[in-house]
Amino acid sequence: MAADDLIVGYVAEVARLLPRRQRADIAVELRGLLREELDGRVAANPGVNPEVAAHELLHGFGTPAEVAARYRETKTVIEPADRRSFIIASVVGIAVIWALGIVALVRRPAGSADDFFLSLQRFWFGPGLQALWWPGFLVVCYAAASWMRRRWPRAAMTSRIAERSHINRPLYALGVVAAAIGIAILVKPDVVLKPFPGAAAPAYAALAYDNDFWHSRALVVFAVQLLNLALLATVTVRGRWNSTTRRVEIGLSLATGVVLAWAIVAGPIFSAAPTDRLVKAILTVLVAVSLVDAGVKLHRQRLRTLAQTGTAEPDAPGTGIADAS
Amino acid sequence: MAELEAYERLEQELRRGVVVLATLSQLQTLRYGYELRQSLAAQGMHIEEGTLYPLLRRLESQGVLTSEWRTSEGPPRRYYVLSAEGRRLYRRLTGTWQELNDAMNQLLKGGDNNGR
Repeated sequence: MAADDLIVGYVAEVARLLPRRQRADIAVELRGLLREELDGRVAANPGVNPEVAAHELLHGFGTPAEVAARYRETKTVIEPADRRSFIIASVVGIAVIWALGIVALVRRPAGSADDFFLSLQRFWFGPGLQALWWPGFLVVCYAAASWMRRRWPRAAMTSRIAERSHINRPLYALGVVAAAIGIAILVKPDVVLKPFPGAAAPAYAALAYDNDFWHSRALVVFAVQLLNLALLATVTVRGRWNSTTRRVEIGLSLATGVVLAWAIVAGPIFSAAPTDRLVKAILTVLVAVSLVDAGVKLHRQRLRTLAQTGTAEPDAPGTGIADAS
Repeated sequence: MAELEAYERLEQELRRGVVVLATLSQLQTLRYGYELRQSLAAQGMHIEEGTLYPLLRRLESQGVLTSEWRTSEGPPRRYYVLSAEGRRLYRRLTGTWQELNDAMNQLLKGGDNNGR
């Protein structure tokens, strides 16, 4: 391939990866520069094969993708500082979704080898592949967080670990009211149909709990939600978080995740199958969020303890700096 | 081998830190990419073509340089020069460089004394 063809082909590849408005301009400039570089090398080394020299020149210049990237300002979707937490959150999230899928699979024992492979197929095309929405969702969240940090750098400097002691009371009070309303709707879901006096019987049937769920798991689910509400109310009244309420929060996040997971796998929640499927899908997300939330808060609590006492153990003797509680 | 790799990596970091200032220093007058690279190399500042040419475009997009096409001397070439903002930036960066240079000379002298 002639040296000039090499350069033209290379420049075309670089240009293809550039924004449309820059392509023609950079392509003309880059072609001219590479030709002059090649002429310079050939003039400095008489007898060198121009094609070989062109190969060496382009190899040293970089791959077309690398070169195109250098012509643009560096922008990251997920910042290097977030890389580790993104990977952990992705892996844990997928693991939780797959675990729930496997539990559902095991609960329906296969009667034959055919049934087993059918179940495997159902798992793979169900929770297996569909779990990949989770890292995609995380990419959007991390990209949004990265954009917000760039847009409001001052707010980004505020330590998330230190800031949470004091709360916005009106906002928390609103949260308590919203949570109370939410629990009321949980206990009696068909209350949402009250504003619609013309709602037909099937609508009420769609929101009816399964009898078995109502007489067993419902009590535990509602109890955990009431405990969450009580914690929120306590913090609202006190006006701040302290180490005790933070520990209770972590415990409740874990408990919420475990209880909801149990409610999902132990049987139907709603009598109507479509409602049951939809609610279980939503609850699966909530389970993942609760468990991740508990993990993150536990990690932050340990960091807070480390910063205060110089040790990761919350009750170990420290430097004498008083805890906010 | 590991030491050589570490040296090459850190030396590249060191050079990367001065590439912009070196480039700006040679753009008080209109120059095109190849000519600029040859001029820098002749004065001991070797910058890879794959680094310099995209850098010129990025500096232009940041408003530090302005450019124009010229075809009077053969094939079309894009000539770059410091913009008004670029000249102010260059003066500030030069001042910063002098301070850093003085500080480094002090540190290295002190480092040499400690090493004896």
